[in-house]
Amino acid sequence: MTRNLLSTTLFALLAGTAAHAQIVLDVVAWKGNEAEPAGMPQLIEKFEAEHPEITVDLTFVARKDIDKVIPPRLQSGNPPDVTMVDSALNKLWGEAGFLTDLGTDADWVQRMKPEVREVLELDGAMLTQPLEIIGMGNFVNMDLLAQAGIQTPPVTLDELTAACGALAEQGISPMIFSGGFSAMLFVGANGIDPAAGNAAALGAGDDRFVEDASFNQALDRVRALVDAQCFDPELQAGLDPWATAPQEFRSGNVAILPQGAWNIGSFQQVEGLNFQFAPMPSGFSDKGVALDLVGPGWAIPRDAEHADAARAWVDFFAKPENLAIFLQAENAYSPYEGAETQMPELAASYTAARDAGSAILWPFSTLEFPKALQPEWEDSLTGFLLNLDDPNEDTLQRWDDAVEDSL
Amino acid sequence: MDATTHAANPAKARNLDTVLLRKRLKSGLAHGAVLVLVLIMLLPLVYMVMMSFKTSTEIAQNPLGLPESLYWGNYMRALSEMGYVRSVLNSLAITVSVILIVVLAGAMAAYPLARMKSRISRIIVMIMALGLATPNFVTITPIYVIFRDLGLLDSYLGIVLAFAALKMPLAVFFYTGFIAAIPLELEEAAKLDNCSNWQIFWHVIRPLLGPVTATLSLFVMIMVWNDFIYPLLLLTDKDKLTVMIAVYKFVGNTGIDPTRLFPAAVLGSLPLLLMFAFFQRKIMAGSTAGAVK
Repeated sequence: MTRNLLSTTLFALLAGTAAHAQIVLDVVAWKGNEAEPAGMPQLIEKFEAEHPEITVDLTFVARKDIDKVIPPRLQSGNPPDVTMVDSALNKLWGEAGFLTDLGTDADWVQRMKPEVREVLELDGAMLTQPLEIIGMGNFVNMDLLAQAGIQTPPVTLDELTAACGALAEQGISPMIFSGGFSAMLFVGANGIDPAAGNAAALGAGDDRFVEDASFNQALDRVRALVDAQCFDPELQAGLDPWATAPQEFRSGNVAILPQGAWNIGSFQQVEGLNFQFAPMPSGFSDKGVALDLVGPGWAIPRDAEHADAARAWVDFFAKPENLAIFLQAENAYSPYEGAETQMPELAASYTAARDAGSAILWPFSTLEFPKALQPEWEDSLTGFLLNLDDPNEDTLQRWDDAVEDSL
Repeated sequence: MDATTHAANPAKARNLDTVLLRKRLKSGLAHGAVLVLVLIMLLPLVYMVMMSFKTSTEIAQNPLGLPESLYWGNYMRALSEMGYVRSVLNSLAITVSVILIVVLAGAMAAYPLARMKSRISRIIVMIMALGLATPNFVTITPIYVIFRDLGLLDSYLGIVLAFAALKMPLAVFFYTGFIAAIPLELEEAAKLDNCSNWQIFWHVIRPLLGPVTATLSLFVMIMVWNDFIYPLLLLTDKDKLTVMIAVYKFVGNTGIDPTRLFPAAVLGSLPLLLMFAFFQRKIMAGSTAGAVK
C-alpha cells in the first residue's frame, strides 16, 4: 500500500514536471543586441507573455559571422530553433535542404508583396518569413541646406548639383561620396531604370553593362557631380562609408550622406541634428528613386528541436501589430500588403517616391545581381573616382567580367 | 691614467669626445624614432579610451578632441549590460587552462620531435606546421560535429580542449625549433647520471624553455582571449560566455556606436593588459633563473 502510494506520488510529480517543462526557444539573429535592439526586448517579453511555456533565448551573431557559426550547427543536425536569414542565406541554405518549408497557405504568405515573395520563394516552397524592406537614400542636414538658402532635400539631379554649388559657396562640404557604398547607391539609382527593370538581364549576363546606356550615363553623372563641386573624388574615394562617413554627418561636417535608413535611429539621438531622409536623385524620376533593400527574415532549420515553438514565433511576427514594433524600431517598411507605414515624418519624401512607384528593389538583395558583383562594384567605383578621365568601359567591363565569372 | 693621456694628447681627447657625442646623438635619434613609432601605434588605443569617456553629443561635435570631462555613464551602462565579472572570470579560466595544456603538451610533443632525426619525425613536424596554415572555416564544422558526439558542447572542458587543439601546432612549432638549438652535451651529462628520458626532459630541458614559453604563452593568451567565433559556436549557456562575446554584443552590422562599443572594448581588453604585464615579468624572471642553472 505504502509502495503504491509512493509510486503514484512519484508518477504524479514526474508527470507534473513534464507538463510544466519550460521550452527554451533558441533564436539566433543579427539584430536584437545592444547596438541594434530592433524592438526585440519588447517583442520577446510580449511573446513570452502570450506563450508562458516558452522562454526565448536570443543569441546575437553579426551578419558577417553567421556564415561561420550557423553552418556547422545546420550540418551537424543541432541547429537553433529559429535563425535570421536574408535572401542570400535563404537561397544557400534552402537549396542545401537545411530549412523547413513554412508553407504557402499561411495568411502572411498570401499578404506578402509579390516582388518580395518572388525573391524568397524557392521551387514553390516558402522558407523565410520576411520582416522588413529598408530604404537607402540620402540623409540631408536641413540646417546646413538652409544656410545655403535651400529648404527641401534635393531629389532631382538638377536640384542636387544646384545645392552642391550653393553649399560649396558657403564653405560647407556638400556631400559624402565614398568609393564603396555611397557611390554604389548613386550609380545604382541612375543605372537601374525603375520602369524598364534592366537589372535582371544585366545580372544574368543577358545584357552587358558596357553596352548599357543607363549605366554609362550613371558614370557620366558622377563626373557631373564632381564638376558641380559636390565632393573631391580623390579625398572621398577611400573614405569608410560605414564608420567615418556617418560620423562626419553626425558631426554636422557634411550636408548630404548617401546611406541606409537603419541610421535614422542613431542620428535621431544626436542633439541638434536636424535631418531628413530622402530618395536618391536620379535621371529616371523627378521624385528621386527610393532604393529598397529586402531585409532579413525568420527561418526554421530542418532539424530544429522545438519546431512547434518555432512556428509560434513565426506566427507571432506574422501579426501586424507585432511586426509594427520591429518596423518602428528599425525605421523600415513592411514587406506585406496593406500594412501601415511606421516611418517617421523625416522620411516623407522617401515614402512619397515609393508611393509614386519611383522605387527599385536593390538588385543585390533580390539576388538579381550575383554576390561576387558587389565587391567588384565597390572596388571599381573607388578606382573610377581616382581616374575619372578613364573611359567608362574600364569600369563597366569589370562588372561584366564578374557576372560572367559567377555564371 | 686616461686623464694623463688626454692631457698629454688633446687631439686624441677631442676625437674621443666627438666619437662619444656621435654615439649619444645616434642613440638619442634611435630612441626618438622608437618613441614616435610607439606613439603612432598607441594612437588608436588612446583614441578609443578618449572616446569611451565622451557623451554622444561631444563625439558628434568634436570627434577628435579631448573629452571635456570624464563621463563615466558609458562605463556604467556597459558594465550593467555586459555581465562583466562573470564573463571575465570565464575568459580567465579558459585562457589559463588552455595555456597550461598547450605549454605542457606542446613541449612534451616537441622534445622527441626535435631530437629524433628520422623521416617520420620530420613529417610529423610538417603536419603540425600545416595545422598553423589551416584556416578556421575548414576546422570549425569537424570540431563542432566531434564535440557534439562527445557531448562536449556547451562545456568549459569542450572550449578548453578545442582551443588547446587549435593552438597545439603553434606550440610544437615553437618548441621544436628551440629545443633543437639546445646543446646535446647537456643531455649526455644527464644520461651519465642515469637519468631517464622523462627526467632529462623535466630537469634539464624544461627549465631552459622559459623564454620560448613566455613568448608562446603571450601569443596563446592574446589569441584565446580575443577569439569569439569558437565560444559563440560551442557555448550557448549565457553564464559560460567569454568577455569578448560580451563586447561583441555592442558591435553593429552597419555601423558602430562609440559610446557603447568603446567602453566595452576597453573593459574587455583591460584584464588582458593586466595579465600581459603580470605574466611578462613573472615568466621572464623564471626563464632567466632557469637559464643559469
